Amino acid sequence: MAQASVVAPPDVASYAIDAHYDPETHTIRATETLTYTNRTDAAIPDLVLHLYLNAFRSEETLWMREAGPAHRGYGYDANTPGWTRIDEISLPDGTGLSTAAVDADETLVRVDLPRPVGPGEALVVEMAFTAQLPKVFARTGWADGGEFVMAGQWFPKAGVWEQGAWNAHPFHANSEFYADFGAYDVALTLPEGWVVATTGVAVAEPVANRDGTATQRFAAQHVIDFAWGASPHFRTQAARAGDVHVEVFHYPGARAAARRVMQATVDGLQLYGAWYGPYGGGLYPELTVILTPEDAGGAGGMEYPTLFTVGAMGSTFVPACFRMLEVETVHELAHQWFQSVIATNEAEAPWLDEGFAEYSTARAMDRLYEGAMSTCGGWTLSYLATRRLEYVLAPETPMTGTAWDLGDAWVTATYSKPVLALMTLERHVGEAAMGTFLATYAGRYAFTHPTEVDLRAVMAETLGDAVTTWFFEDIVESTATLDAQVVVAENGTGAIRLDRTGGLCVPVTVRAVDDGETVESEWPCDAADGVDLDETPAAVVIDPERDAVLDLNLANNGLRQTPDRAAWLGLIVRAIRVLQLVWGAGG
Amino acid sequence: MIEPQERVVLAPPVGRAQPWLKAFLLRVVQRPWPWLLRYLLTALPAMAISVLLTLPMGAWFRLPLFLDALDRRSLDDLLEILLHQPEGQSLGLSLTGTIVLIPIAWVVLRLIGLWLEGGILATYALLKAPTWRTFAEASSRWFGRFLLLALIGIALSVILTGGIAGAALLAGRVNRPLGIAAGIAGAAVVILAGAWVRLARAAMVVHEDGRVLHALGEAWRTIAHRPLVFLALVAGVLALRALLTWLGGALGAVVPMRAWLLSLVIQQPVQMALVGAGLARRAAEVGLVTGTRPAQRALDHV
Repeated sequence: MAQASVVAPPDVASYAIDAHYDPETHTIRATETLTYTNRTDAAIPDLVLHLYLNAFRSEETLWMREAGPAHRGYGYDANTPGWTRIDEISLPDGTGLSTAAVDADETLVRVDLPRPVGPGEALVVEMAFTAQLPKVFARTGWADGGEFVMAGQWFPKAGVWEQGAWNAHPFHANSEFYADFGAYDVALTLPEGWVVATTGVAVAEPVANRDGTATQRFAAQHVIDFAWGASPHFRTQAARAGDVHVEVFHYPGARAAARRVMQATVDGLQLYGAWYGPYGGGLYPELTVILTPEDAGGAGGMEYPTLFTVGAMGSTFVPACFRMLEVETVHELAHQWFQSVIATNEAEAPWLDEGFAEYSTARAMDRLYEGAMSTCGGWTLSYLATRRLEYVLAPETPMTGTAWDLGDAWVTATYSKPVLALMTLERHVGEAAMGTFLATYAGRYAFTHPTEVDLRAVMAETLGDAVTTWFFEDIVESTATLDAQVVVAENGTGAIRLDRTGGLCVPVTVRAVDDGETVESEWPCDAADGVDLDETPAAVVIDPERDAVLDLNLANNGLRQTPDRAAWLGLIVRAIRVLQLVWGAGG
Repeated sequence: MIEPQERVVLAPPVGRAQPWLKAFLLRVVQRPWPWLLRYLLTALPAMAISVLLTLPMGAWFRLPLFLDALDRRSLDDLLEILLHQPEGQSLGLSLTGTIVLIPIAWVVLRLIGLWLEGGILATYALLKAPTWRTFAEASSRWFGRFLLLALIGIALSVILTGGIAGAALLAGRVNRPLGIAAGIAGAAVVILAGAWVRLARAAMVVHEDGRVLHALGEAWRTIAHRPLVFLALVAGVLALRALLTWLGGALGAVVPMRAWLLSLVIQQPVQMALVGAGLARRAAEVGLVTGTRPAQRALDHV
């Protein structure tokens, strides 16, 4: 189903970095050579660089004001800030360049150039920079008394030049990525004995230096970013998933968790490969996973090209029946397609990235674990249900909008509603049609920057104009909701009406059961005043297969004429046993 | 007051506890009233409260989603029901009221159970099965002392658990496996401490001596004299209870919710067996204390 062949993208922004990390001061001192090739038809007058670590330099930054300052329950320690500073910047001939802050926090800087970069020309800029890592916060920093480090957003990185301007936003709390593809050649120097996990692949063995450090080189092709993590305590587990070498880095106490993460990664690679095309378009030979240690949960649950981290909710004591590690793994793995390769703008259209990753997560959980995120106590809880809970509490939001404009609705608009919307769409058009749509979108826009317009065009092409209009206008861009209801008439006749509140209509079936006979029909959900049933069946259910997972209230979708007494007695019997066990626990 | 002539003193040779314990264990079956009492003590209130608990849910049994939740053991569906309680239900108040009843009933049943404890231990300690009057007298006689012992046991557990948890956390910071090992060893210590305090009840009844510290000392001497039998008793009863609890759960999981009669027929014998396991422990404790006393005297004379 998925398209297998992907043409390697031309490099736009490539980097050669020589970085030295000091675990005592948690500081990176580095030199960087940026080669930026202008592949547009217009001349580029200047250069804009992201210095995103500056968002963590105080509690007053835009990021911190938007976030709280906290991230996923982890607080910010103002005594261990993070920042990046460009110490020197020049052209290869030694011509010094000046920089100017674009935003108040200096998370973006403009570099003035002596002359514009013409179409097809390559600009080479050399710089020295210092990056101070914070104590682990918002996915980056050091932990374990300095013996673990996760470096994300750590080097000056170019924005994306498009439509005659730089597309680069100050670092907001709810967005991270928008970057061009390129090649990375990175030399990392750390204390000897530290194990390093990075984007890309190691291209040489570590070389010991005289000062007790060792330097190792890594390379990555056709990626939009480069991240790395390191620790002297790292152990590794390795496996192959087709042509891909998978390596999981973990602490000694997290061996069992690492095995689970590895299994989910290998299974997920197979699934996503079948749905969206091969991992990295077949161009990435390796995938690295870092299982963060217990006190670095803030660095867990994050995606980077060819590398992701897991462990946001702990990594050591995670019961097998609770599959949060697996959820986290298949979610971050999905980002290897939706953002790392299908490189949408996370700042301007966050749902194209997180929403598709969430939908992939729910699908993968369905296929790999029958949907169950938890089976503890013999009761199942699906991942989709947790997202439904978020959605039904605040459903009236469109999915479109910038990460910062969505405000409090960001989680619902970016994660919960998209997964429910895409799942509703899948169940409406069928798995096969949905598969064709997704594979076409993923194959056509691999290694490019697609927008909602591109997505809509592929949907219209593969699923038809009517479905596309309904999906985008009634769901994606709308605040409309759906609540299908089976209502008993208040006139005492016991007559039953099929009704709906909310402006959204999803075509589903109605099932009526009477005298052991089941009759299914289409629910005319667009009937303005509901539908009165001519006869009163023993039981009636709207959407019995629960295809419309966007329905705000599934509890009122069905009704029986009389209570199920056998089930009632069954529950009493179970309750008796539970109480006997609780009261008799002491023997 | 228990008649002195009814007391039995068996004097088994040291190291031959098992055949002799068997005689005490048999009394659990031969004198079934404590078994029935202990079973009914939890079964009857459980039935009453279960009915009360489900009454407010009456309307839910008309919702296909709720029935699906029960059939498929789906927390998804249950969450959905809880999130959108059907209109017209005063579920919150009724449910809250019933749920408040559960811990209150637990405390009351614990106290009644503690009151029965004296009669039960006397039943297994006496040569002949006691009359109801004797049973009730023994229950009343030891209740205050047993309550004191129970409070001591709770205090001891809290102190030990706190101390051990702290030590395990500290050890875990230095070395994680060491911390885990410390935690496991600590849990074993807490369990054994609880068993020691429970053994003191048997010591009180067997020796007809209500001094709490003396009873604890007697229990300690009993453990010291037959440590392996004591450990086997604690571990064996724990294992048996775990097995029976698992068995009840496993059987319950395969029986559909609607097959309520089958569930009842399967579950209640397992519950009775669980009660029986607890009573077997009590009979064995009585036997252990009874058997140790003369042997201890013999050792004292050496």
